[in-house]
Amino acid sequence: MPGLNTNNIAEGSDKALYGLDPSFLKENPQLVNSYENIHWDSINSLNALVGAIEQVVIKYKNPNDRIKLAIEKMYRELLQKYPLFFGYWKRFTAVEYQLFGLQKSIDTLKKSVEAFPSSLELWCDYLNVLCTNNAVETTLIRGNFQVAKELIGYQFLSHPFWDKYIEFETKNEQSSNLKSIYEELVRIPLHQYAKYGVAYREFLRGIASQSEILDLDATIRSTQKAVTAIWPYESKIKQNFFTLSPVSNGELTNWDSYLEFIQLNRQQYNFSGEMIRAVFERCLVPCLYYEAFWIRFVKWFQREDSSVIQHVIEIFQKGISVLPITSRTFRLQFLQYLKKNLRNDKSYMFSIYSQTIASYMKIWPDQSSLMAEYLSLMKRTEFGSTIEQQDKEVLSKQTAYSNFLELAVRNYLQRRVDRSIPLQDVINDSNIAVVIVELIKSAWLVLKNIMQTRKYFNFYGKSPLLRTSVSFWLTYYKFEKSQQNFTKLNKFINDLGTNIFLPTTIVNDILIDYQSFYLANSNIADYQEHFAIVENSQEIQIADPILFSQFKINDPAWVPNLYKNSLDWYKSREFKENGHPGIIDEKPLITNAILEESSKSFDNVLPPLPTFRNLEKINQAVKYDDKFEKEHIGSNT
Amino acid sequence: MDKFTGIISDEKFSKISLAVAQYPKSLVHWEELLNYLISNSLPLNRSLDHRLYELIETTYDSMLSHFPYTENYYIDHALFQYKLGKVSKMHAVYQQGLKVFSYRSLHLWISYLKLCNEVVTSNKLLFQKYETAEKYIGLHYFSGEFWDLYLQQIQERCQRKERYFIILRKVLEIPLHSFSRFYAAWLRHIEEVQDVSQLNSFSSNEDLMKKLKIDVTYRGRKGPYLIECKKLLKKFTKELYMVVQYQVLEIYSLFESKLKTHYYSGPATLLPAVEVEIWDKYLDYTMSQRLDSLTHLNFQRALLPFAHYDIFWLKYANWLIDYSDDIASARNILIKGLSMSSKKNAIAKLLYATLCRLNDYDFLALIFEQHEDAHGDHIENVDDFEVFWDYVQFQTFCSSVTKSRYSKSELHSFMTPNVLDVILKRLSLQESKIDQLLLLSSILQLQTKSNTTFIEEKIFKHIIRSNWEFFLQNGQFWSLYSRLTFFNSSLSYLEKRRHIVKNIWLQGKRYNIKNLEPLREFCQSYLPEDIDALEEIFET
Repeated sequence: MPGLNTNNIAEGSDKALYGLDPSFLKENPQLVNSYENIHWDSINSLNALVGAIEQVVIKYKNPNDRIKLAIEKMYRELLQKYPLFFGYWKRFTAVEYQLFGLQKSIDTLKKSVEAFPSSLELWCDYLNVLCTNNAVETTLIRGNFQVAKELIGYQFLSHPFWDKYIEFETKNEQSSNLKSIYEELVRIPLHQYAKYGVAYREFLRGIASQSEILDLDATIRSTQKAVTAIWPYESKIKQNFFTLSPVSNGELTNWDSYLEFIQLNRQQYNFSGEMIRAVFERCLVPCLYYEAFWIRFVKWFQREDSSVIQHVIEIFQKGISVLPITSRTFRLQFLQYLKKNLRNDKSYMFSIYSQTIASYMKIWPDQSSLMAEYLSLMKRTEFGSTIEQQDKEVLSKQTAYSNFLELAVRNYLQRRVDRSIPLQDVINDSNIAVVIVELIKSAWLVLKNIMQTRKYFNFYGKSPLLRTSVSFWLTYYKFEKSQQNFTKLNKFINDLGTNIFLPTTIVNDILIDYQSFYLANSNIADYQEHFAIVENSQEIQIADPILFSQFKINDPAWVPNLYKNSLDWYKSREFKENGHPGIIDEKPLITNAILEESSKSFDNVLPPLPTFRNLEKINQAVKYDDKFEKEHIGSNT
Repeated sequence: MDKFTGIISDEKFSKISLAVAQYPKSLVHWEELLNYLISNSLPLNRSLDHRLYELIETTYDSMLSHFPYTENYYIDHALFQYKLGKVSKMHAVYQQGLKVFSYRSLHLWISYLKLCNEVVTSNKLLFQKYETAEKYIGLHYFSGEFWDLYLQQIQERCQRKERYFIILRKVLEIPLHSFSRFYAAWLRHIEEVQDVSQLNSFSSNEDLMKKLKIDVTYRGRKGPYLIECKKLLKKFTKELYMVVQYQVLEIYSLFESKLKTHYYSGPATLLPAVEVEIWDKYLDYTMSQRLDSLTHLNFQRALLPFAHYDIFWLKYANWLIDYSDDIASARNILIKGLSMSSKKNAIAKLLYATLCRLNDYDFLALIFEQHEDAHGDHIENVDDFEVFWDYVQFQTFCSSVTKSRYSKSELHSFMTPNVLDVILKRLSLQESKIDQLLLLSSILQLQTKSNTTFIEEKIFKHIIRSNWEFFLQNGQFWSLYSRLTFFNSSLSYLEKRRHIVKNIWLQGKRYNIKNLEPLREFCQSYLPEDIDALEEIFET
């Protein structure tokens, strides 16, 4: 699946084929080829590699250690990337058996259930192998059965596991264990629930009272009801395994309605938390890359077991590690979750939070709002203070925060970033503005140093990085408004669209707001004065804050009276494209046109003969001005 | 019973006239009334009952004052007067109509001039009218008919040829729908020339000499020379033709062919949006052509079908302000637009700004007075927030004659008592007006270092004192209040924090606040260190 951990095949000495005998490589071109040209998103390519490895294992009865190591390395790479391919785990186990013998293959199975703990098949294999080969180690085996029961015992088709478990305890003649197994088992809605009902009855015969039997019958009926209720969904599951191709819509809808159903009807059918969790975990095997299911899972889990924050965090982290980077909602929900629970354990939560948000800033470098979130939480945890504290203490915290930000900004701008400081490590060209704004806000609103604030605005305002920063310029605008500095405000309004480039909707909002602000806070006398200054100055006309500033709405590059000032207007792009934007046309013109003159004004003398411009171009082919081509494609060539 | 009494005592008349009185803005009823009166007054001639004549005349007048853009009814009315022999009335009606369109109605002019051809005997007076028409509608894409009339009258009434050729020569340059007709006439005239000396009908002697080397006093063998000269004249005609044809095709294919509605159809008719779009582009196109009289004319053309839409009034005013630097004309257009357009907000706002620019505060005050009257002195009741807010802003500015930002008593310098009063009245309406919180946050946008106390004392505390629960139970209110305090530059950082946490939030806790999210957002942006305090205060 694209967009996942793209840990490419390691280079150099880490490479699986490194150090192998050249003649071996020459003899096995298939292996070399399928490994070196592997396509991680193609199942055929992965199969080819596994097939080639198996060929090698068959071909060499007794390969040397280097070859063995190389084979293991290749498998590990593959299974680290895709731990949910249980088929590969099985084949890997077989290969390990072939190469290293029994114990190694058992170890591999053990690893497989650690990497893919909700795999029924792998658990059954593992327990099988343990029972067959280590039958004497009952404690170890029983321990594993108990772990497996938690992980896969509630899956609808888990009867092979339960059979094995019953067989194991029967063999070991632990009837008290058997009783408690059955007791739990008959309550689980399984495909083969009936078989266990009968078996349990048989088991109880003679040792249990009549009322116990009656209770059992009631339990079985209730389980039967539950099985019947979920059967419509279970029967529609066609693909319960992981693949690289997209899951069909039918499957997705079925999982969705299944989950919805068991959550809504939990009471009615006595669905246990373990059972619901098992459905979620089964769903997340084929649907591993589907964000919606992770969102649903974590939401359910929080309600189910909100006490264990650690478990919720694990689910979030698991989801984040597999979901494609386009899955934003789930990732942002994690941040929300951590923020909400910050009060419970500040330093722990903040450390998880900052690691997480730092990783987000790496995958979404343009999301500057992440930086704002981060700074806010950092201030709260690392530079926090309460109003009960002494003034001096509080202010020292604030000053420290301000200095911390200033250092980070300075280091970034001077390219002396200290990677050991988390903030400095994540600053980039897109979010530096947020840090600067925070620094300025601190100087202006917290430390109340107006001089310093102005200095910051002057200094950073010149940086090209901030030319397009909305938050920076809005803060500046707010600042000058609060200072009622109309000279600066007028200049700012004038610079919008010509020196400062913000999105048009933002510019529109500023213009509308400024008109209101000016009307409310200036006065007629000052307005008159404004024109006196404008008319005397030789500079470009400063836009009138009441009337002309409105002309910039939806046209930020507007300049007053541009029309009047241009002599070669017919050469302008606007004129050449007039009526048909994108098509440049040398329009023919009469250069001594008389059509605007009154016929009387000629005083009975005939007008001169017409003269023309561009007459010779009248039949020329038109030119197309493809901006996209020029500005986006053309610039790369 | 005479005819007049018969008509007005008819039940049908009372029914129709009642409908007109009840729904004076409904065009259909007026039309019904007129049709009824006219059809019962036939034949129309000098013998018509005087009372009936007056009734019909006043009906026309009233109808046209309600619907000034119904071109055809001016013509109807004028013809009515004409049939009754009232020629000076006929002139007056046309003049009245033309004035409404700033003399830019092709339809009225053609109909008027046709009648003038019949009744005006003085050539001077008649041609004065043609010259006026030429000035205003001569560049109209469909003015071919006008030029035909003009040329015909010149030919009939003038002895000398020059005027005719000057006019025809001018028409050749105008991109007209029927342009080729005039070229045909021009070429025919060239063909008809018998002698070299007549060639000066097509241009001045000097120019012919200079540009075409045609000597009108040529004394040699005239026959072949004339043929040669005619060729040269036709060549320049052909070049001119190519240029104008190019322009006509461009205008036709891009715009004129797609415009179907060339008449006024009342406020209740929705016109195809595509025509608005085409007119918008057409006007942009026209503006870039830089023929100011054509631009004026095309704006007036667009306004005829779209008089009740604000878009073209605004565009017209914007063009006058920006391109022509003619703010006074823009004001006039906006005043007209204000009376005709169904949507008035944007027009009103631009008009206010224009009046400020023109320093015409008396007129602005007058408009505000009318505005207040229209709401029965309860401007705070106006539904549209924007209308209210524009009123507040400009009213504040207008009353700033006496205020100065250096004024000592800050409490009174920001808003005059009556503006504040209107704002508080509107706020007191609470949930019965939408956008109440927008009003509050708009006021906050006006905050400066000098008016913070005013806003806090006169507005925020007033709301709390008045116990207006709509605000007090809304987290947005408390968030805005916190923000106001945080930007209060007369408090130190710690004073602000303590005021927000200990006064504002604790006060807010007393009310059943429905949404804490705005307060959380405020903290997130400005006071992250007090989020815990916020949660603790509002936890229970």
